[in-house]
Amino acid sequence: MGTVAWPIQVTRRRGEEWAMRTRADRVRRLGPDRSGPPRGAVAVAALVLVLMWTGSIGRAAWAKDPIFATMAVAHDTSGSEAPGFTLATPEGQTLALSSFRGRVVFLNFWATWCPPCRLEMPSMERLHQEFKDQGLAILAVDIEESPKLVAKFMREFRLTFPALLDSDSRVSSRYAVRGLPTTVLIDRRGRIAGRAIGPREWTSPEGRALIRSLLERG
Amino acid sequence: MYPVILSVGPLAVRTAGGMGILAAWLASTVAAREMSRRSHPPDVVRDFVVPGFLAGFIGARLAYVMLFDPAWYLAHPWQVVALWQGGFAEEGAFLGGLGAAMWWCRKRQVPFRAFVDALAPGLALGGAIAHIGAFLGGSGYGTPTGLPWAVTFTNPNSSAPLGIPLHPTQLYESALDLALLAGLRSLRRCPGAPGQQFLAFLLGTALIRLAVDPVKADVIMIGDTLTSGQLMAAIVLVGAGLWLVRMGRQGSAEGGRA
Repeated sequence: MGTVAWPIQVTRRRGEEWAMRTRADRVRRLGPDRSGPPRGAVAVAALVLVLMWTGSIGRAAWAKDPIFATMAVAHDTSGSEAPGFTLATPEGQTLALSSFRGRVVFLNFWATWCPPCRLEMPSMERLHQEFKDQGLAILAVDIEESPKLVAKFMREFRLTFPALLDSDSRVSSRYAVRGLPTTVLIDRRGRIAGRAIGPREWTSPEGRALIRSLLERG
Repeated sequence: MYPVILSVGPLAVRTAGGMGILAAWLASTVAAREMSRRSHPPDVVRDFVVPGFLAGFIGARLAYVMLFDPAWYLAHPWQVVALWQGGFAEEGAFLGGLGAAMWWCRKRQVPFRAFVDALAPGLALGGAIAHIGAFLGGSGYGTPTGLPWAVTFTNPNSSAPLGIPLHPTQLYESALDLALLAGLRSLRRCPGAPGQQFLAFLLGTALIRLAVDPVKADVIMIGDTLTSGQLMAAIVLVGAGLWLVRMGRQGSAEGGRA
């Protein structure tokens, strides 16, 4: 019926407990075991840990201009100025957006833990190699991660465009970044031309055409 | 290769996590059998699975945080619990698990050496499985190589760099863990002092670390040349060596009396 207290202090002398071979044996002698962690709670804790090891991917895309539409890049025709910023690289230098005026800026917001970001990185590197001398500047803005981690990632993925550290998310919130990766395309006059949420195959024929079209617009 | 085994809506079970739990379960089954072979209650081991796993998990994360970039984590403390972003160090799992085992033996009043001896083969088996999980998830990857058995990761969910042929370090480690398991089994035929199995496990694991780390890329560097794993292996080798010497002395002292 109710709980019966058992003389646990008396029966639990050193060396005695492990001499009781089986759980049944121990239950018979001591009553139900209450010394161990409750198994149900522990299983729940383990499950929660596994679920914490998860990622969610959100993406949305819309478009107007045909060349933007083929890449599902939202075409921004409002002519709004891209917010300026100055950010540090993992190596400790600082780069200002204003110093890229006159070039098309490919502003990519990302993080090392974001799989779709990793997916598009190799195509960004190929884009960088192909168009850097024609006026394209790729800037990869990492959201709130350690400089060492970002430097390790850039080295291991063999990426040669600059990484920037948005250590307090101030720049990404000014650009209203809601999901990663987000790419903002800025024209040669410093105006926001388009925005892509989610990864793209940037070196596909459509992707190249989009970049070329931006490079050709004054 | 296959970083996610099950995804329900926005939640996904990572292969590495799932294999880690499978490894813990198999390791505990083997260890429980070892425990009853030593005439100790196997429940002591089975009940240890969860606290041991948790201690190892927390230890691995803390070690990563403290070894990789402590200053940054000090400035961004909430990032320490951002577990979904990855970042674990095996050395911490070892220390956390060892600490938990010491506490457990005191709490359950079992002899420490018998307990860790029973754990040793299970840990080797668990290591072999966990490294296969790491391979499938792409963590713990190797350096680029032109060898014919190099692997190239392509799945964007992999932690490894994509599209570059790499040393399959996780498979090297898995195979060496299995070899260690076989070694521990054959060592059982010549019975030694309590602690012998665990000591052999320590030596074997440290040697595996030293052998594999030179071709491993997903490592934490201490200074410019040493990996955190090599540093830990060196410390363990010294500790295990001292223990071995002491065990030898005790053995010969008993032999002298007989």
